[in-house]
Amino acid sequence: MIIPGFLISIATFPGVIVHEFAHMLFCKLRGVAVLDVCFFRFGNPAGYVVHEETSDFTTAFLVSVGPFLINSLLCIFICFPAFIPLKVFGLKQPLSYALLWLGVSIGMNAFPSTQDARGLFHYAKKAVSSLSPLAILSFPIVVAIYIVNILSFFRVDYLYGIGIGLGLPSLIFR
Amino acid sequence: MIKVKCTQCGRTLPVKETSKTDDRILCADCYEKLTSTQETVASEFRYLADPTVCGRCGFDNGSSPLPSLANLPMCQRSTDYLRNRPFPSWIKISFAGLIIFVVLAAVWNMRFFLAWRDTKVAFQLMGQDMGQAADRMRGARSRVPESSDLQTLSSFFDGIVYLQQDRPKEALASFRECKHKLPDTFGVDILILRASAGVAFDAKDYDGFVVVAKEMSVKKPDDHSSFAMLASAYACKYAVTSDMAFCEQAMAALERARTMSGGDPSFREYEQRILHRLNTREILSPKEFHRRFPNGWQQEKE
Repeated sequence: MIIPGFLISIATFPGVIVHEFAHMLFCKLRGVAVLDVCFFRFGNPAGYVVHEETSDFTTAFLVSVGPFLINSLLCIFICFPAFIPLKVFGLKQPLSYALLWLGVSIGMNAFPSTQDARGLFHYAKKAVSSLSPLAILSFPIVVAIYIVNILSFFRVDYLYGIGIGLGLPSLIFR
Repeated sequence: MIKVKCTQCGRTLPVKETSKTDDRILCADCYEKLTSTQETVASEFRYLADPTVCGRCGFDNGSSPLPSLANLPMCQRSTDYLRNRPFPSWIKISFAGLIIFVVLAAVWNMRFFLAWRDTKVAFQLMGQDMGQAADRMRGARSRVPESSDLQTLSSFFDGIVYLQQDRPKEALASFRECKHKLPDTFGVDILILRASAGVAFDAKDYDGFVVVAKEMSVKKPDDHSSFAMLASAYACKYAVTSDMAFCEQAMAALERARTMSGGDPSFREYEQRILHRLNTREILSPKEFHRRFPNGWQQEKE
């Protein structure tokens, strides 16, 4: 059964909000003008940040990858403590379920949008050709993000959230 | 503010109130009239931007064009605002709430993490220091008292410590709490038999001791300690009945255990106790045996 993307966005709305929050936060940190912002809406896309274009790769990288970092870290911080009582000790506490939903919601919205991924890939290619150290170091991440976006049809981005929120702690807390 | 003339009606208007289509500058009224008669015009329509008026706040810079930001004329105030756009209050409150919630949840769940760590350490210590391992497991249980799994594991660890301390009654009570609650790999059934044998020995119920030892030898036929226990039980029976049949059964079981032991030093000590029992028909507890023969017992010396 294929669940429409907008339904997933509604079910994981905290992740959408955190994603746009992170975008805007990195725009502010890098002095990029934010022209318009929507943290959540019932539509496609569920949220967006319209910002000015930048020619600086570091800025483009941080603005695009910022949500990936923030959402992933928050997902891990929220899911890991909630995982132990539920899965290790079998204690079915409502708080654990709430935290896991929150954490996985945030993790499922970690990946940059297709537009951001394409933009970042375009910038990275240019920056790598000019031998920028950050671009060279981050290129594998950029390529991975680009590939995941290509595979987003198969919901690989959502699987990533489930993977780091539930899969990773299950590997650690056996 | 730049003003232009509508090419259709000739009115002079601010440039941002006009549109350019087919190279003609049109006011809104003329555009409306044209789109109702010429369908093609609509697709080519676009608004004209006035480079002297701020695209965000409408600030009029007179005749001087404003700097451009994202292809829009922008005054300094708007530029500063957009470059450091404030988060809406509800976002600030929500994010602060989220962080507080996450921190509180982490603090609340810390005891589970510590209990998990104690459990891990307890299993690591199992082969080295069972006393410490049981302490760690008890610590885990006290951190998460609502976990039945931890209670079971703690009882299991306590049971092993009691067995090591030669307190079979307490060990049996602990192992019975774990029965059917742990996987077979924990060997709870075997440990229950070991503890039961100890309880029977302490109660001088040697018939019961033989029954348990026989069951043990059936369940663990590859373990030399099973046959050593059987030898011990028959030796007890011999000691209290003087029936040589029990002595022969004890010797046979002991021989089998010796063959299987492969020189295990703990077996050597156990063997001495059984041989002493068969020779003297005196049943000594392990503690008493060690007290009397701190350097071991040899048959020839008696």
